[in-house]
Parts: sequence; C-alpha cells; structure tokens
Amino acid sequence: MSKSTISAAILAGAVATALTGAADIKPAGAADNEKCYGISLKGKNDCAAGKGTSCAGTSTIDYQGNAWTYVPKGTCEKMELPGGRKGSLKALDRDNPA
Amino acid sequence: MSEWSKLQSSVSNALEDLNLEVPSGIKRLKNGVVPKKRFSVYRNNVTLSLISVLASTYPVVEEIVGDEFFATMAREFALSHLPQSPVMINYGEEFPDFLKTFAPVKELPYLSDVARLEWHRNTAYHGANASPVTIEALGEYKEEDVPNLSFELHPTFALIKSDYPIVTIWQAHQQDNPPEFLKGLTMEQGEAALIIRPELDVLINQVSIGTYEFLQSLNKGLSFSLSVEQAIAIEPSFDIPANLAGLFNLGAVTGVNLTTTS
Repeated sequence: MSKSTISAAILAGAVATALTGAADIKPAGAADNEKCYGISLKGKNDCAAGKGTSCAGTSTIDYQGNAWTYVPKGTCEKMELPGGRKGSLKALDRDNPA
Repeated sequence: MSEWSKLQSSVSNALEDLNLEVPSGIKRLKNGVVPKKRFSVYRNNVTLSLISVLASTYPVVEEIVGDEFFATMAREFALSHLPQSPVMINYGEEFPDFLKTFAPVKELPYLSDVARLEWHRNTAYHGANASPVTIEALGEYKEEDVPNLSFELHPTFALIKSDYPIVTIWQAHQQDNPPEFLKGLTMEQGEAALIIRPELDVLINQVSIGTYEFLQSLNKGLSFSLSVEQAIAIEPSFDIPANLAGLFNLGAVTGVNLTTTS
C-alpha cells in the first residue's frame, strides 16, 4: 500500500472543520422516525390475493409468440437519446415459437 | 422417492416447462384426464406471480417501458430465471443484467442501470439495521492517527455509478407525472449515487464522482487518507470536511477504527 501524500495536519484540520459544523452541511438524510415500518415501499406488503394470483390466471399464456408487437409506451418516450433517437422502440421481428 | 414426492416434483417440473404434458398423477374425479389447457392456468399463475414480484421491485423500469411491455419482458425473464429461493424479496437480482442483453430494449441503454439502482434500493430496504456513530467519535483521535482511521459503513450502504443520468431519471419517476425536463436530459451525463437505509426509509442521494471514489475506497476498507487521495485524484476540488460531515450526518458510519500504520 502506498503511503498517503496528504498530510495528517490537513486531514485533522478537515475533521476539526467538520466537527465544529463550519462545513455547513445539512444532514443529507434527516430521517423521519414517525413513520410506521413497512409503508415505504409500495407493493411489497400487498397481500398475495391481489394481481398475479389465481384470479389473474388464464389458461392461455399472454403475450406469447408475437409478444413484441408491444412497444414501450411508458415514460421512455419523454426521454431523448444521443443522436436524436427517441426513447421508443419499434416492434422487433421475432420468430414465433413453432 | 415416495409416490407423493414424485408427483410433487413432476408437477413442479411441468409448471416450469411449458412443453411438458400434464403430469400423469394429476387426475380429475370424473373423466380422469386433465386437459393441458386447465393445467396451464397453474403455469400461468406461477409466471404472473413472478411478474408481479418484479414489478414491485422495479417500479421505475415498469413506468419507463409501460406496464404491458414490462409484463412481457418480465415474463421472458421469469421463464429463464426461476426463483432459487422461496424468499421473494430476493427474487430478480439478475434482472438488470438481463435488460442489458435483451434486444428489444437495446435502444434504452440506461434501463439496465436504472434497474440496478432499484435493486440496490430493494436490498437496502430489506437490509439489516445498525446504529450509526456521530461525528464526535472523530474528536477522540490524535492528529497523527487521523489519516489511519477507517470507517465501518452501514450494512445497507451501497454505491452505484452509471454512464447515464439514472438518479435524475429515478427521481423524476417518484412523482405521479414525470416532468417534462426529462426531454432536455443529456443522456451522456453520467451520475452516481449512494443508497442507504439509516432509519426506516431508503435514501438515494446523488453524489459527485469524487465523493463516489471516496466512499468506494472507504467501503473497501481503505484508510481515511488513502480514500481522500483517491477522491482528490479524480476531483481536485473534493471538499473533505463537507464529505466527512455529510457521511456522518447521513448515519452511514457505524464504527471508527484505528488501523496500524503500514
């Protein structure tokens, strides 16, 4: 490991500055203790009886084969890519399963 | 193997492989045979539940491509990446890599990195709790020892760096209607972020490239002085006191140690 070229005085000075609060940094994440646990991430605590369980079941596999006639219709259309390309896709030609 | 466990594994195999016939042990009370179409309901439920897990872990990716496209894409992923564990909060780690190689989204090159950010958020959310130390802990050390300090970081601490403005994109999607400023976004603008859950909420803070190097080095266990050196090498204006105070104020440091001089 190479020896550091930054002097102890500079680093200790930085610590001192940080300690006295002269760095004038607001806490980057003033955490909120008031919230109940588990409400922050949407979807994760949903009961399993929602979307995706038996009521959503169908006997046909959705979107198979010619699935990629779907194109992204989300917010990618609001984003522009380098070279003037739009953030949206053309459907891809793709062999359907035999 | 008992008849029962044979039946179980044949059902589980048949649920995973769409080309397999209905397992022979599955019978109707009347008429005996279960049509493939009926059995497919169960196959589809497995896939749909996995799609739904992916959608809850990757909500921004879903917004970017739209829910129909996402479901289709997630299905492709799920069929080739069945869960290795019954714990669904761990499902979908390979999804960002999958997006990188998935031809239909190759024109959305930022998508994979946005997904990585969301995965880190998922991991931080479910990560262990820890008690941070305050910056006053540094006051106990003598000047000559300060360079050799090393910091223990919070168990939920993670860093991400991308060639694309993934933090801006992610933040824009925390509102109901992603703002129009996305239109003017410079896609060549790389961004870095630190992800942490010091208390109850996962925080995603954009950081400069210097701060990224600093934190990355600390996270590897390098000393304070070597970490500062890495940061300054890439960002000459790196502000040591501000970064130090920021790191402690975030609750990201859970221990300070004095390493012996090498």
